[in-house]
Amino acid sequence: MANARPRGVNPLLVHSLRQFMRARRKLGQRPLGQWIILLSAAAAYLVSLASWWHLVRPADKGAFSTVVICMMIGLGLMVPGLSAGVFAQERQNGTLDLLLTCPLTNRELVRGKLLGQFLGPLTIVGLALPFLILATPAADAAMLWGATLSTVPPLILALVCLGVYCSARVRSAAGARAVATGVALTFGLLLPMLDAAFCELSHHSEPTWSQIFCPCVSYLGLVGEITEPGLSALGPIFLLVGAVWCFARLELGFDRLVRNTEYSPRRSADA
Amino acid sequence: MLDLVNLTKRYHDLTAVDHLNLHLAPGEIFGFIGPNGAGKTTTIKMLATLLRPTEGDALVDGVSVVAKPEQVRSLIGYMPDNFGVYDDVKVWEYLDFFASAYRIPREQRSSLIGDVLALTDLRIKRDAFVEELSRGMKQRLCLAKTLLHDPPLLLLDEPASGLDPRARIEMRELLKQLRRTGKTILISSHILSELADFCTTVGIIEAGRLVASGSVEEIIQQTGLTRTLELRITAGLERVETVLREVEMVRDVVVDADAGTCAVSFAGELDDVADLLKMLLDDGVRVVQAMESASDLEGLFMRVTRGQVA
Repeated sequence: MANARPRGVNPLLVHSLRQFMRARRKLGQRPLGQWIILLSAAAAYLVSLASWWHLVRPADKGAFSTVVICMMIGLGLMVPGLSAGVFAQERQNGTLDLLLTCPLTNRELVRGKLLGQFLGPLTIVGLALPFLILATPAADAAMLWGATLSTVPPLILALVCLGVYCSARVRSAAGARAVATGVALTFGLLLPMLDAAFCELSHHSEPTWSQIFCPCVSYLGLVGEITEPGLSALGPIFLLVGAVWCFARLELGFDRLVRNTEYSPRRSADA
Repeated sequence: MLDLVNLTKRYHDLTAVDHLNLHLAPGEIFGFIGPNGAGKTTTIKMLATLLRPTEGDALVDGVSVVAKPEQVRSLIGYMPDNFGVYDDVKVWEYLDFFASAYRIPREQRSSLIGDVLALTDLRIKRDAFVEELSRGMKQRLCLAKTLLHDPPLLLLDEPASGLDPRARIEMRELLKQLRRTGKTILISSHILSELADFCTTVGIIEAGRLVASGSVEEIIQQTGLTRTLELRITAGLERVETVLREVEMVRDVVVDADAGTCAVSFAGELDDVADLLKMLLDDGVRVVQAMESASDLEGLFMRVTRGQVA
C-alpha cells in the first residue's frame, strides 16, 4: 500500500488549497471591528469597479496598462514574500521533518509547493480581472491580452521560484522573505528606476511612471512611449533567467538544500 | 528488523555518533538512554533518513538508509521530539494530508483515520482545529500520524517530553498498547522508569558510543554491576548481615533496624535471588517482602555513564 506508484493530485497542492480556503472560512471568527473594515474594503472595491466604467476610454490603452501596472506592482511585492515562507516557515514550525520523512519524491515536494504558491497571485489577478476587462479597448484587445497573458504568468512563476528558492536557502522565514523581496525589488523596481533616471539625464526626456514602475509591460509594447529598451528590459529578463536557475537548483539540489542530508541524487535515484 | 552497522556521524571535528552497532529483532521494544548530547537524536535522525551517515549504514528490514532512503521512509514511522503542527487545518484534515503523502488510497483513508483516532483516543477531536489541541493531544496526534501507514518500525524520539504527569501516563499506556500490536519500537527518553516499564531491551549511549546494550539483566552481567534487593524482615534482622556476608555474590548489606528493612547489593542473576532468600529462611530469618529496587535502571545508567557528551 505504502509503496504504490505516485498518482493523482499532489498532496501538497491539496493541503495548500485547504489552508487557503480555511483562511477565508476563518473570516467568520473575526470580531465585529474587523468585519466592518473588510466590508468597507469590499464596498470600496465595488464602487471603484462601478466608477471605472465611466472613466474607461475604450479607444485608449492607457487605462488597461494602468491596471496591469498596479496588478504587477502588487504581485511583485506580495509573491516573493509569500512564497519565501514555504520551506523556511516549515523548518521554523517543526513540520519540515515530518514532511521529509514521508515517501514523497523531491519532485513532488518542489512542484507541490510551487503550485501551492500560485493561489495568492491568482487571487490578485482575479480581483484585477473585472477592471482589466472593462478597460480593454476593442481595437487593441487581441494585442493587449496577448501581451498580458504572455507576460504575467511567467512573471508570477519567476517570482514564486525565486521565493521558494530563498526559502530553501535561508533558514529563517523572515530572512528568506527579506532576501526574496529584496531581489525582486532590485530587478523589478530599482534597476528600471536607475535606468529611467539615466534616460532623463542623457536624453533630456522625462520618463513615464509606467516606464519606471513596470519595465516588463513597457518592454512588451503595452506603453508606446519607450522606443529603445535599456536596463529596464534587462530586469525582467534577469528575473526569468534567475527563476529557471532557481527551479533547476531546487529540483536537482533538493537533498542538499532542504533535506541537508547530502544524499547523492544518483544514489537516491536507485530506489 | 533494524541493523546498525558501524553507524557514524561526524560534523567536522565532532563525532556525534561513533561506530554504533545494534540489532533489533521484530517486535522488540528498544529503549535508547543517554544524557543530553549523547547522540540519541542524531542516531534516530539518521534512521529516519533526515541525516546521512558519514560512515557505516543502517538497514531497516534489509533496506539501506544510505542507498534507498525513499524505500526506508515507507517502512518507518518517525515522531520527532520537537515537532510542530500546521495551522488552519482540522485534525482529520491533518491526518488525511499525511495519509495522502503516504500514498494511502483515498477510499481507505476515512476508515483508517477513524482507527488511528480511536487508538489514540482523539475521536472526539476529529473536527477540532489542530492548533487548539493541548500539548498532550498534539503528541497523540503526531503518534496517530506515525501509525497511519502501519509501519513495522517506529522511531519515537522523547515522545513524553514536555507532558504533564497525566498526559505522560496516557502516553505510556498508549505505547504499551502499541507493544501488543507487535511493532518494533526504538524509543528514546530521559525518564528511565518509563522505559524500564515496557522496554524489552535498552541501550545506553554516551559521547556517541554505545556503552551497554541488552536487557537490564544482561547489562548487569556485562558490566559486572550489582542489583539492589530490598528485603522487609519481621524476625531475625540481627542475623541477616552475618548470613549474607558469607555469600560470595553479595557486595554490600545495609540494615535499617528501625524500618525493619535491609538493602542488599548483589552481583548474581535473577535466579540466584531465590537461593539467597531460601538461605535466609533456612536460617530463621522471616522475609515477608523481597523486591528489586524500582530505580534500578536509573542506578545502572548513573553507574555506566560518566556524564560525557559527544
